Amino acid sequence: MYYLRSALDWHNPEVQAKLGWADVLLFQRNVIGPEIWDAMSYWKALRKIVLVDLDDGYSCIPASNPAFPHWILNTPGLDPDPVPALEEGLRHADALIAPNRVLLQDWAHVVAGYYWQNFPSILDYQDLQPRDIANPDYLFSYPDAPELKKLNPDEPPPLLQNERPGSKGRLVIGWGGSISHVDSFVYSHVVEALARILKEFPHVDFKFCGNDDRLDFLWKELPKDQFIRQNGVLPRKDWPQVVSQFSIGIAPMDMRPVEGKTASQVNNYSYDERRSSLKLTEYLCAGVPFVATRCHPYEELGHLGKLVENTPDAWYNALRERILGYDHFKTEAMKNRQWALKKLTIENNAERLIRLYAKIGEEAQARTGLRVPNTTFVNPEVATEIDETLHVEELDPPFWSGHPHEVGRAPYDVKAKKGARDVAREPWMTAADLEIGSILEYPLTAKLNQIYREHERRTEEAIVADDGRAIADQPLETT
Amino acid sequence: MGGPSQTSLWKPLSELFQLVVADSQAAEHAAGLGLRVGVLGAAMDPPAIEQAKVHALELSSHLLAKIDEVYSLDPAIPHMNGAFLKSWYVPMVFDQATTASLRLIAAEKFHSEDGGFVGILLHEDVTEASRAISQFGRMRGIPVLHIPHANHFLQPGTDDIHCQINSDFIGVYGEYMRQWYLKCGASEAQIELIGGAQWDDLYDKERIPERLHSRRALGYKEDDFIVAAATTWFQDTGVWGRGNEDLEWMAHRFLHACKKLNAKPLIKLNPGEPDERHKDWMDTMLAYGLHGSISKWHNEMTYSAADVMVVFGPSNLGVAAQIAGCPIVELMIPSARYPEAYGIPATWGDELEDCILAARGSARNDQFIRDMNYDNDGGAVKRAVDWVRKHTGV
Repeated sequence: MYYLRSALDWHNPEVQAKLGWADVLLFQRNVIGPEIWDAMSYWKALRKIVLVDLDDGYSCIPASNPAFPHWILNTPGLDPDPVPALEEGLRHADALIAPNRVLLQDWAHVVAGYYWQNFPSILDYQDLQPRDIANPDYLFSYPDAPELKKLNPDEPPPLLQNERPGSKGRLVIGWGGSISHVDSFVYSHVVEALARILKEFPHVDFKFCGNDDRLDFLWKELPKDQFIRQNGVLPRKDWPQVVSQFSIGIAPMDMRPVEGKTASQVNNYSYDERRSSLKLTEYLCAGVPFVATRCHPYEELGHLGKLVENTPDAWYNALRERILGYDHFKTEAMKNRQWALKKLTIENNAERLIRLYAKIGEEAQARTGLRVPNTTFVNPEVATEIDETLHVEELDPPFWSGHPHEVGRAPYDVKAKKGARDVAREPWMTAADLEIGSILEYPLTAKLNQIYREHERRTEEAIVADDGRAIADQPLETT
Repeated sequence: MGGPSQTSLWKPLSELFQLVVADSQAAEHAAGLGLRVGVLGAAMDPPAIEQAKVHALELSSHLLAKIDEVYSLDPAIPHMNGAFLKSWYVPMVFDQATTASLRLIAAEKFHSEDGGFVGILLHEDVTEASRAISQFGRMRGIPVLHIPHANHFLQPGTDDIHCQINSDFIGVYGEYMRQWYLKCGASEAQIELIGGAQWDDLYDKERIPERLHSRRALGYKEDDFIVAAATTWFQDTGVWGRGNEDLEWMAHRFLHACKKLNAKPLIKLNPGEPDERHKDWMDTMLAYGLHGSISKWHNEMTYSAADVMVVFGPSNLGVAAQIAGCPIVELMIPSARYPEAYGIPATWGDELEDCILAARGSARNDQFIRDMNYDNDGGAVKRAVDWVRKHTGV
C-alpha cells in the first residue's frame, strides 16, 4: 500500500504508471470538480472499475452540521454548486458504494448503488481489554509538543492513558463521534434520560468523547461531577481504546424526516438515517452493551443490543435495565464481540469486498452492452446462414411413454453389463496386487455396449440390404 | 481425487490436511485457488514406469494365451472373439493395467516416504481411476471416503454400474441419495447425510448474480420470457433410449415450445457435451427464428435469468436451479426420473408448453431441495469436513 498525494494529476506518466496497476479506482466523497471528473472519465475509458464512496447525505445536510456552509450555502463559490457537482461526479462513476441503502436510493437515478458496511480493522480490536468496572476508567491523550520533539518523528506518537481519579467501580455510559451530531442529541431526547439516570444512579457517569463544544448547553442538564469529557481527535488505531472504556455505549439519532433533495430521494427518512452503522459495529467489536435509536442504519445490528424510540422514557428504561443487569448485558456483549470480530471486521470481509468489486465491474460491463464469454449468442435477424432443410413446423409426437425407469433400455445393455462384471470377477485378472478386472469394468461396459450397438446396426443394415455382406469382417467404428 | 463437485472442500480441508490429488489438472486448479497440493506420481522415475509396464505385460501375455485357448467375451459376437478381440481388448488391458500399476506405485511411494495417507476422498467410486485408488486404500487399511458427485436418479437397486460401492463410507447429499445407496447395498453405518458441498454458495445471496444483470450479460432484455434448457448427453455405461435421435427430438421439442410461447431459449449445455453442440443448437435456433444464447458455463446467471428451466432428464442442475429459486420442468428421458412424489412437472414432451406455464412463477419446492441437499442450509462444506475428520481421526 502506498499513498499518492498527486493521484489526480492523471496526465503525469508516473501517476498513470502507479494507478494503471489497479483494476478498481475508488474516489471518496468529494467528486465535485472538473479535474476529478476528467480523471474518472480517463480511467473509466481504460476499463477500470471507477467507484465513488459516500457515507453522508450531503444533499440534505442540516444547518447544525459544520459542512452545511460548504455543501448547501456553497461558501467556496463552486460552479456548479456542490450538490449538482456531486451528481455530475457520480455520473462519471460505474457505481456508488455506501454503507446505507437510503443514500444509495437517493442517487439511484444517477448511478448503480451497492451497499457495503463500514468495518473496522480486527488488528485494532482483537487485543482490546474491555474495562472491568472494578478497574479505573482512563482518559487518553498524547504527549505535548515539547515532549513530542524528543520522540522519533517517523513513529506515531504514543497514546498516554491517564487514570481518572475515583473512577474505580464507576459505570460509564459513553458516546464518541464527530462534530456533526448536535441534532442527534437534541432530537433523540437522550439527554433528558441521562439526567434522570445520573441522578438515580450516583455511581454512573456519562462520558462524551469529541471536540464539539456546541452541545455544552445540553450538558448543563447533567450533574457536573458525573459528566466526563474525553477531548481530542484520536487516530483510528487508538480509538478502540476509548470505546473499550465504556460500560454502556449510546447511539442517538435524529429521526426528523427530511427531503433527500435528489431526483430519486427517499421520503420519510432523516438525515441521520443516511449514516452508517459504524458506531454499533465499534461497540460490538469492543464488547460494549449499547442502546441506540431505532432507525434505518441500525436495523441489521440492533438486535444485538437495544433499540429504542426517541422518547426520554424509552431511553431511560433501556439504560436503567442495562445498569441494573449490567453483568448479564456485559456477558452477552462479550459473546457478541467474538461474533463481531469474525463478521464485522475488514479482514474477515476482504474476500467479499473483492467479489463485490468484481460484481460491480461485471454489471457495469453488461450495462454497456458487453456479454459473457464462452457463449454463443443467436440472433436470427443478423444471421447470414440459416439451414433451410430444417423443417421446424413438423414434429413427431413423443417416441416414449410410460415410466422412464421402465422404458427404452437397449436389449444388449444387460449383456454388456454382465460381460464386464464377469471380467471383473475373473480371479486371474490381476497385476501388482490390483484387481484389474474390477478396474476395467467401467470402460469395458462402455466398450461392450458400443460393440453390441454397432453389431446390431450392421445386422439391421445387412437384413435391409439382403446382399449377404459379412458383418464381422470389418473393424468396428467404436472409441 | 477431486472433481469440480468437491472444489469447495479443498480450502477447508487444506487447513487440516496436506492434500494430494490424483491428477495434475486438479493440482493446477487448486493452485489457481491459491492452494498448494501434492500430485500423486508427479515425478515417477523410469524404473517405476518400467515396473508398471512389466506388470501389465505379464497380464496381457496371459490374456493373449487365453484368447488363443478360445477365451471369449461373447461367443455370438465376432468382435468379442479371436483376432478381433485381441485387436482391442489386449491393448485396453495393457493400458489399464499400466496406469493402475503406476497409480499404485505412486501411492505406495507417498505412503511410505512422505508421511502416509490418513484417508482417501473420492468424488465417484466406479471409474477405473477411482477403483485403483480405492483398492490401494483398502489394501493398506486407509479409509476410503466417497462423496458422490451427483444424484443418479436411476431405478434404486439397479444393475447400473453407479449402484456399485467401492468405498468404505459414503457422505450423501440428502435423504433421496441415502435411500438410493441403501437399496444399492450400503449399510446404514456406512452412510452419513452431508449435503452437496458445491451448492453451498447458492445459499449466499451475494454470490447469485442479479436477475437484470444476468439477463443483460446473457444477451436478453429485462422483460423477455426466458426458458432455459439444461441439456444432457448419453454415456455408454448404460444404454437407454435412441441416443442422439432422442436428443435431437428433445431439442426440437424444446424450441418448438419456445416458439409457441413466444419465449427466448437459454441453452445450458452439459460440460460433458462436445463443443460442436454449440453449432447444432445455433443452427436449430436460427431455423426456428429464435433469439437466445448457448453456453456450458454461467450456471448461476442461468438460474437467475431464466423464468423456467427445462431439464433434459432429471438433472442435478435442476436441484441447483431450485435452490437458487428457478422453477424447473423435467423433459423425460428413458432410464432416470426425479421421484414423482415431489411433484416436479414432468412430460415426455406432449404437454411441455403447459408444464412450462404451470411452473412459471411457482414457489421453491422446499421438500425436494431438502431431500436432495441436506439440510437446505448451505452448510454442507462444514459437515463434509467434520465427516472427513471423523473417519480419519484428525
